[in-house]
Amino acid sequence: MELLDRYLHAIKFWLPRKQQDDIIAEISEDLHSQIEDHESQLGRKLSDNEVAALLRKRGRPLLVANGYSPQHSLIGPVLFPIYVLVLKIAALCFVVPRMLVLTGFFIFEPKYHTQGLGSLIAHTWSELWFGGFVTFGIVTLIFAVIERTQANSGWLEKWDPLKLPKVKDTRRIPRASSVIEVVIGIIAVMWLVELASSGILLNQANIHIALTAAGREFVWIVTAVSLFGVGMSTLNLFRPFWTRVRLALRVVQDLVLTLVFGLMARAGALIILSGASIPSAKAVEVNAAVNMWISLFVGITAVICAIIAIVDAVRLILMKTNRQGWINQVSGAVQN
Amino acid sequence: MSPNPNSDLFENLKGELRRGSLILAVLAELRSEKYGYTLRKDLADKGMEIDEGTLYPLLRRLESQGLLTSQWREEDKRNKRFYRLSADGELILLRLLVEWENIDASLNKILKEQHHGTTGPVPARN
Repeated sequence: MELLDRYLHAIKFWLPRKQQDDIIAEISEDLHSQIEDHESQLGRKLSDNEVAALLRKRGRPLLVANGYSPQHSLIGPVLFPIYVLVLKIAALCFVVPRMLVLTGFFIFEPKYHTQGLGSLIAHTWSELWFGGFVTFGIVTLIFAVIERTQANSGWLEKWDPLKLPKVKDTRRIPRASSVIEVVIGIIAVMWLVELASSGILLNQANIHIALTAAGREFVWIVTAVSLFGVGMSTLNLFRPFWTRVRLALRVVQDLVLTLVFGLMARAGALIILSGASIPSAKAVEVNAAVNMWISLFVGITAVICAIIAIVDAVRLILMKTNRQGWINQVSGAVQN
Repeated sequence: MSPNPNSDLFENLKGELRRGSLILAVLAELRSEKYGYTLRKDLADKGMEIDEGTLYPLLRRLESQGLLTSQWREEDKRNKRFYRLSADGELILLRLLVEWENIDASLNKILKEQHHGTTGPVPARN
């Protein structure tokens, strides 16, 4: 019965140490009884192949031993959905800002201009991969600790149905926000029209700031997009529910603004600064410095527009798949 | 012939349905003392097949819960572990049997109502 001994030894390896001998004795006895039964039916000893078939039917040693072990899980079924949600959020918070910073470097830092965006992404891929792996490890570790402590905390029992979050209609547009958008939009459009037609930003005794030809063109484009935005906000005021078409138009508007501000940031001189108090020798230097700061400011605006475009695009996708927004999921999960 | 796509689902549901009944069957069968191998054979003879990988861990669990007692004893020149129902086990078995009868009666009622409302066959009962 060498085969049987080998089988029992393999099972023993995986068993809890304190119970090893007792469990093995019982399994051994059961297998011997089975073999005896078969042998008395056949009227002869079982061959090694026949014993092997019997053991195969009994199951892999690890599986047999597993039946005697208490059920363990790193993260149990109660916490698992929250764990997955946190991992998704962590991935989003980790990857999106890094990609935006990367894009910012690509736009503003001249030394990155020689590389293509693709090679820049490939260059930082290993860093993203390592960071993602560490984030995954930390989140898993935290949840494993919670899993082991929450059983005694009474967290599952202590909850109040009255404190559950209200169901939000993600398609509804608050009228107050539409009113604010319309008012600010009209003021902005009026100012932009004045600025684009006159081309003068500031005209005082000592200092004169005017737009360059390129600057005026950009301001006209921003004015047109802003006017479109005012129209959309006015429509939202009277029909305060997002439709797929309107949300898609909003995404297009965000993308156009991102593109325009991005181009403005790379366009170079947008204004010309002059004045009696500025020595002509210094004028070139001052203009370069001011235009650099304006480029930076406009570049940051482009990044903000890109973030808004992403958020609106996610809302559009969720609306198409008929799912609740993930922001609501997060607030719901924390409350529940 | 292609395999029935629902067969896995059926096997899972059957497993869930049998799980509670198996405990009842094991407790009831151990009103008289038996060792693992004969217990399994007796259950199989009565139509309640149970594989060793399920039975032996179940016996240990029921013993650790105080519903069974066990004793190693020599029989036919081999050491065997004999199980029987404990005093607590007998009380629990009685209560579980009452519960089982209630479930059985409720299920019968539901199935009869269904039968009167539809033309489908009522599943045969053993």
